[in-house]
Amino acid sequence: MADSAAPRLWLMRLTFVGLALLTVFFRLLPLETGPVRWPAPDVLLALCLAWSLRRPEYVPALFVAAAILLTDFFFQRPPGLMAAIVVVACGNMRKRGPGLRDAGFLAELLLIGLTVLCVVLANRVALTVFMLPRPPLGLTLLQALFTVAIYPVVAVLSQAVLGVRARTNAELAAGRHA
Amino acid sequence: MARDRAHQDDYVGPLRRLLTFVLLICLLGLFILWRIDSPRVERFRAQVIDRVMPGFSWAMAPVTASINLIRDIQSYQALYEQNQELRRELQQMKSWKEAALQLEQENARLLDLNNVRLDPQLTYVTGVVLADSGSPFRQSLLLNVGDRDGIQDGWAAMDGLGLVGRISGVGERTARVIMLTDTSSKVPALIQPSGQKALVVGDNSMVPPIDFLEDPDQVRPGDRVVTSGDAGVLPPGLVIGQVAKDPGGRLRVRLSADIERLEFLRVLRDHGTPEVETAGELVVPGPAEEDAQAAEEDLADG
Repeated sequence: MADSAAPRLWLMRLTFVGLALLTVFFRLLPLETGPVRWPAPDVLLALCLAWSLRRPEYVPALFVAAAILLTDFFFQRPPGLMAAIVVVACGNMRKRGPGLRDAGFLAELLLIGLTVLCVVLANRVALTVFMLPRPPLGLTLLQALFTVAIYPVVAVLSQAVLGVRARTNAELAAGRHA
Repeated sequence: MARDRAHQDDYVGPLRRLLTFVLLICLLGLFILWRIDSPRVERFRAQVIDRVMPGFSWAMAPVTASINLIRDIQSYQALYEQNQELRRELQQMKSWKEAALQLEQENARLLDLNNVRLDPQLTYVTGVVLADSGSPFRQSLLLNVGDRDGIQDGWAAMDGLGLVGRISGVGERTARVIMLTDTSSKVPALIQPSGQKALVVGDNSMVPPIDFLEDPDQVRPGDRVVTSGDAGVLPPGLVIGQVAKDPGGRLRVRLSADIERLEFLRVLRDHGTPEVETAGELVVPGPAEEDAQAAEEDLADG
């Protein structure tokens, strides 16, 4: 259980915050100021989902909420709405994580695909209910698709570089009987 | 130990759920507050950006510059052709410059003849584009000028050539520009030379369509589109672009501003034109005239 010792735990939490700020930073760079044809994938969402699925203790709900709320503020979205939806989605991932442990990556990707779709649709339904202007449906779905497509990259990189991988059942059993 | 852990889980689980629940309530509360009292939360948004942005901006300029450098290197391959093309264009430009100078002199002469007074309040503040804070769905920019430079909501932002958008959201040191291409941007415009009034409506494309046009038959591709200044939204007469027709036959504006690469923006100071609110009052001789009359009478008496 040395893995979840307090210093490492907090190091990884800070890493998460750093990565979140990094994604915001790159989205903010004034490279293409005009309208774009292809929406960029929402890397932060993929990151939140991947980490809550694999190592929920690294991404407390408060951190997820703070990160997404910051992007809400920066990218002119209704503040709080997307943050709340993503917190719920991450909570769901947290619950599904153990059951998915030995199911393989394809099942995981399927789950992520459905979750991203749910996040996008929930956001859209909320915007409709509160009579707010909605972004075009095509662009939204395209962005969801790209987010799912970028998910394996995010997951593999976090696993290879940062060591964020799901605990196997063996490890878990060892931890339980330790 | 095992029992301990299970016990701990029992204790941590509900607590975490409770905290998450409280967090959700807070977030949704913020959202609903924003829906009810948008200006207050938007001010808060401006403050948050104002606080966080300086932390980014020191790193932003070098990273942007290096990425642009790499992109430019890719275009070096076509350097020779580009050079030739530029020379040809330069040749043409020289003749145009000559024509422009002559026209400028003529214009100055004519203005002098007509005794025209240009609006002295239309001065500008130039700001650097800090960040492209739009998403694929919102087109907006952050400038490094804000309240301390006297920027106010609603002022027009232009690049050297044409209108880019207008200020919406001012922080202490930053201001946000909603671009003409944003879906929430609607700018009253005047189409020259036919003098038709219309709205330039953003739709997330490079060429925003023209809406609410009185008589589309009088408008031709290539006509100039300028702001009309209706409703006091923007000062009149700012260049927006030229009319173009898309393949579907819809009229659009090809913007004069090069909105794909914006580095500096001019924010025009505009304190609005004072409105005439009351009907004219009865014209009576003023006290000065009465004095003059009295003096005349004195003279006559004397």
